[in-house]
Amino acid sequence: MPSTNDAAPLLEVTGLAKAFPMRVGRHKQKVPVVEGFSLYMQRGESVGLVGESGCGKTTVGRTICGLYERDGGTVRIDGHEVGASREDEALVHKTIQMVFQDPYTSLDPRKTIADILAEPLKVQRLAPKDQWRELAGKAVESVGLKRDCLDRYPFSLSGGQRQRIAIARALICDPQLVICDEAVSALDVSVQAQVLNMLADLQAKTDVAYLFISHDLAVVRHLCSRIVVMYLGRIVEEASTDELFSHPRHPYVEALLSAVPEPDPQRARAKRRVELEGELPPLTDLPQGCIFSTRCPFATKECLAARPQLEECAPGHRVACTRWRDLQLKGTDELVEAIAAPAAPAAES
Amino acid sequence: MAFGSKQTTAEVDTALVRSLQKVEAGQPLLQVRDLTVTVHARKGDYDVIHGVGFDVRTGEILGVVGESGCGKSLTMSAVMRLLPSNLETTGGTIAYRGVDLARLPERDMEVMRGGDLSMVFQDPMTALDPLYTVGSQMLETIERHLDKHGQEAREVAVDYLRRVGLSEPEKRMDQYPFELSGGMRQRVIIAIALCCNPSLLICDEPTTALDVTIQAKVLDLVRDLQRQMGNSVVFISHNMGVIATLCDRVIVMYGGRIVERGTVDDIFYRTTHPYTTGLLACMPTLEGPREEPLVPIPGMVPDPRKMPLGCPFAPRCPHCMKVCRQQVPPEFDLGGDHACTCWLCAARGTSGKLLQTPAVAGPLQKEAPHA
Ligand SMILES: Nc1ncnc2c1ncn2[C@@H]1O[C@H](COP(=O)(O)OP(=O)(O)OP(=O)(O)O)[C@@H](O)[C@H]1O
Ligand SMILES: Nc1ncnc2c1ncn2[C@@H]1O[C@H](COP(=O)(O)OP(=O)(O)OP(=O)(O)O)[C@@H](O)[C@H]1O
Ligand code: SF4
Ligand SMILES: [Mg+2]
Ligand SMILES: [Mg+2]
Repeated sequence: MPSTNDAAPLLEVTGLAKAFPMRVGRHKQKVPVVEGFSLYMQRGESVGLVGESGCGKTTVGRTICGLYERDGGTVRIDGHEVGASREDEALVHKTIQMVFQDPYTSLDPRKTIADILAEPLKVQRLAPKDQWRELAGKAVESVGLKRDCLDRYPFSLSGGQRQRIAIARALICDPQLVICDEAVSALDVSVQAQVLNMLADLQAKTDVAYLFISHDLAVVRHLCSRIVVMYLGRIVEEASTDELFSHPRHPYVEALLSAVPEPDPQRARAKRRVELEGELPPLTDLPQGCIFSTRCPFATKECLAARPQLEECAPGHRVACTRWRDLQLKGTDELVEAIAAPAAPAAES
Repeated sequence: MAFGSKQTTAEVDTALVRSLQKVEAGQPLLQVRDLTVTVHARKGDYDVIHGVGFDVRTGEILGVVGESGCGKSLTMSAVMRLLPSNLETTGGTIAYRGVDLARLPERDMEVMRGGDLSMVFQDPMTALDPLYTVGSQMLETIERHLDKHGQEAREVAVDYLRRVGLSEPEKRMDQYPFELSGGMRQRVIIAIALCCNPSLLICDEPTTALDVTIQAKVLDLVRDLQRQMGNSVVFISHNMGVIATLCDRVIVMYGGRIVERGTVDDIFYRTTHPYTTGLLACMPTLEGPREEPLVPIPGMVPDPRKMPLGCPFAPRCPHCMKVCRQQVPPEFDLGGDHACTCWLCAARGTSGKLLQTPAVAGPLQKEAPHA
């Protein structure tokens, strides 16, 4: 095992597993919600984590940053394997911060913004008390707000401003990785654009890495250079963003790309959709063989025989599908079949 | 609720149905003119919807877009006469097949709702009663509005649950809302709205909480309803992708007013209002270069109590001129279905009948250009 090592990736997760107690028939038993999750991240990188509701994205985020105890697998930070000791716990807190979806409930309504931002400094003893206010002031400025909001309460801020405060709180301890769990999903398009630009600016300045959890593929495409797609608690495909959008290898990913509505009427009309049958199977009753086999348009006997493991189909491109070699799947541009050149481009102004 | 007894409903029904006019395909089914909604507040009343006018034609899907707080939901709640109690429709007409809904007695309006007119609300959690099974909630609507009972009603319900893509629809009938996932609940709500085959279906952000694969299914379903049955749909969404995929025509709302309207191609390819341009520029897309910064619209949606004097968009508009801060722009006709409420159209010398109106702020959209 290497100890802390600059050449090692910032974060390396292998075989992460998490189970929750769930009712199965009449009994409660621990059901795996995430299994075999592996991920590495470099400094300053943005990785997107996408997948249907309930596929385990939040669980992955919370388990990586230690909010949930993991049931299996290893987490390494700069090559150092994170164990259960207090020092390791402190290392995780110092390195990784999480921003949650809901800007309305994630901030304590009884505290001023200055107090909310001082909290992590206090808990982690990162700075003496007389510096808290100054650091809080810098943090709100870094997310594009004015210092005069420090004495206000969360309820007096808009949703977008609150989400910026949540991000400022994550950034105040100078983390190397921020896990953003649907951090812009509740925001209006215009405010969302402001926050996305701000995240990109911060990354350019500080080299912070983002694990960006979202169900919005257009947003993920914009911010992330690499994307991991989950289905029922497992990674089904991982690739660079451009590769994933142009050459998906997993039938679920093709279906997902085909379902994203195109904000362009001509492309929208020409787009072909790959339909998925049935519902997401319950975690308590996973399909035999490939976990996607119950809904996959290409499933054969072979797919039901054994569960396909993630394998590398091209450099940096991993897929868990028995048939990836013989399937010819379409990327977003191919799904939009040959269309006439768009009419007049967007008008003057 | 007070008029819920079946006998009353049936009596009112026949009289009302006789008064409804037949509307040919492509003709306006709903004509809203000068709709004004006022908030009654202790500190004084103020308007949140300012003289909005639009048509919904038979067999079309009309999209409504705009940022949060622009008045999309309130406009449509006013049409359905389901405004919150501190709000009131204080002006305008809502002509549905020749009957002014704004002046219809409440008991008649109850007959219309759920039968001819149906709305899927933004908040899916409040739309289902947690104490009753999915089946009993669907059957109530079907028995009341379709006059089908017993096995026949059940078949209709099961059929619609299947159509919204729910697996094992028979089993779903006997389940309670809490036994279903959020996505499944939302599809049940949509099935209830569709099962009486409403002539006009109003959907308020019905797919925002859904996964893209399920969202695509619901959009297909709404389009099928319109294509096969010739029904009309109003679809509120802040997702430009959904609007481009689904709609025939679009109205763009800002600050309680309609600022641009047109066919979906007008709005996306011949974008004229700076607000519409701004909305399109701040959305990440699926094609083209990835890493270019987005262009957010600066500032925020105005507070309805502190509306700017002139154009509501003026404080955020990159093209704002002197006149914009002084007078509310009239609506300029850009030909066909396309119209835009912006002084730039006058500055550009856009031809159109409203161009001749003296440059005095008058009430907006007294007559929508395509009425
Ligand atoms: N604390 C918990 N106790 C029991 N089950 C849980 C807990 N947290 C999550 N689960 C279950 O684990 C599964 C994965 O949930 P998770 O919240 O990670 O999904 P997600 O991908 O983040 O979904 P969404 O997109 O809806 O946020 C779900 O079936 C959920 O019900
Ligand atoms: N019950 C109410 N009392 C007072 N003001 C209200 C009430 N409901 C809505 N408003 C105000 O009316 C305006 C329009 O609200 P509306 O709900 O129609 O917006 P919307 O366009 O549907 O936004 P969203 O996209 O967030 O649903 C907003 O400024 C809102 O604050
Ligand atoms: S009227 Fe003026 S302020 Fe309003 S959108 Fe047009 S140019 Fe901008
Ligand atoms: Mg989640
Ligand atoms: Mg609304």
